Amino acid sequence: MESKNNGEMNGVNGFSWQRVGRLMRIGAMQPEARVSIRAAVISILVLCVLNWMTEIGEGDPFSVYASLVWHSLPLLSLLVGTIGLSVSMSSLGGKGMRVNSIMIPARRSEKFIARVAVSLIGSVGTLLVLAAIFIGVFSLLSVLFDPAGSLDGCFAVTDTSTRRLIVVNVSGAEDFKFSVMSQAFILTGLTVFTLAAFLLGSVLWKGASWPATMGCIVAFSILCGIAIDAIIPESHTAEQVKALFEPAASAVYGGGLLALASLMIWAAYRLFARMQAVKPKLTSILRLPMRH
Amino acid sequence: MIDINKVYFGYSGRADLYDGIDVSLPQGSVYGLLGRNGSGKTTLLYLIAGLLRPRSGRITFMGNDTLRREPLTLGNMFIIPEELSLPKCSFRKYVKRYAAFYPRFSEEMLRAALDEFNMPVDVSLSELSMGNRKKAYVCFALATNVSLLLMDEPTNGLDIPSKAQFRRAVARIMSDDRSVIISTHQVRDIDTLLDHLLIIDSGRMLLNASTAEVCSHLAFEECGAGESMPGALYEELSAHGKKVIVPNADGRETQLDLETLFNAVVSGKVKIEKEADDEEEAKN
Repeated sequence: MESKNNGEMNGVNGFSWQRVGRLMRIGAMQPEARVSIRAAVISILVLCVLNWMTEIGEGDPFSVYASLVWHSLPLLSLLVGTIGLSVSMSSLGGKGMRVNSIMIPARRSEKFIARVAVSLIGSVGTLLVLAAIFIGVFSLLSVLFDPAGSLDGCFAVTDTSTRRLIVVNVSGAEDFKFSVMSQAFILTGLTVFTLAAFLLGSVLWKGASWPATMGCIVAFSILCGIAIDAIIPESHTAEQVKALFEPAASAVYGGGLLALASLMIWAAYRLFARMQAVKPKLTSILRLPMRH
Repeated sequence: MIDINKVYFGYSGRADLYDGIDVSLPQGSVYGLLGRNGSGKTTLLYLIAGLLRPRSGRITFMGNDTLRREPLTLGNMFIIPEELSLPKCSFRKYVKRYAAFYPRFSEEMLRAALDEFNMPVDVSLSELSMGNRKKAYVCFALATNVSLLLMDEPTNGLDIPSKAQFRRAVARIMSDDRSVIISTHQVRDIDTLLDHLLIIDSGRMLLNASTAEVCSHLAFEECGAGESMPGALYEELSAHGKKVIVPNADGRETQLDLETLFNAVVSGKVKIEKEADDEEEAKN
């Protein structure tokens, strides 16, 4: 009988990026991909509506709109990324989808990577593409209608009154003004920690994992705040507190957050890989080691 | 060959469903996995497929532990679950995406199965009825050309003509290097298809014998409601009188009545002891 030979991809048990690609194409057909894309589209539309409601002040509005979108991108990407990751495993809540996912002839690591990638690309990728389109359109309008004013460019926010909306203020609290290095360490750690938390939440709770995970993060943050409050005496000045977060210390904090994030990603993968036709329990990550 | 070696399994919070089950299933047969509701049929299928983790023991297919879920092993088996979950896309797109994962997938077998079921390939899966979705899925399953097909209640949702089409389609793909295990409580839908019977109840394997063995040991007769047959092992009333199972002392051929046999085995009235040599041969 005539048969289609796909031996190159499936002839080995080893890791195959080709299989990951094929799994991602399957993932693009699942509801998670659509939810991720919708989250990105809605976020950018809401941002644009909010921009339109902003008091612009003097100067052409188009370069300001472009600038607001540009400055909002980091925080918006994080928000949209968490939504994407929180739905990455949502379809596995159903037994039928779990069976399908387990039985696809691919390594567990390939399936995990494909799911995460589809959700992140669906959410953050769509957001970045739409943002690029909006920035491009606004900048073009700015050049067309106000050639002189467009010299401010897409990436400059000229008036502090226009920064009332969602803008990443990387200078930290005004009193402290952390160094760029400190900010980089802490922000990187926080970003990866947050995304890892939502990934673990998605594997744990499947559906409606975003509010559950956000609740856990808020609780964790409050506990950290209480701990920091207990450690740092009230008598410390701003300079003394700032010294606690300077590069070396920030690297430790950032590294600690990255370590926690790694632990959560490991736990998420373990839970995913040990998935059965029945719903998994958290304690299953502590059982016998897996082969792959 | 499927080897189930001293497997213990139970759902959390409940007593063990399988208490050291030990069975070997050689290739080349259509196995009927029969049992009452809740007897553990689906659980056994899932254990074989590696979808459930036993508390202890090991299940291998062609020497590979199915729980390791290696791509090569998964690429050589396919399960049709009772509840299907299909994406919202056309069947053609579904085949294009998923066929690549099965090294022996055959377009020709797919066309033959679709012709058998009178199914077009250009259909949207989300617009199909449950029965038609199942037929489409069965066509894909048959076309994967795997060595082990597991089917959980495959005829649920199929109309009467489709059940006959299903039997023909499965019979067509059978060969010495392929096995099909069909779990069902609707024995009449598949009784003519089966080569080997596995009857389970409360996690115990009550019968593990080929249909030929059963018919060589037992004869299936009918008589009037008021009559009785000497030496009858089991009797039950039917619409037209009484169905009886008697020992087949003279080796005559009778039509295997699966429903009656099932009731007899589950009630403990009938047992077929496997020869020690047969078990050794099966394990080798």
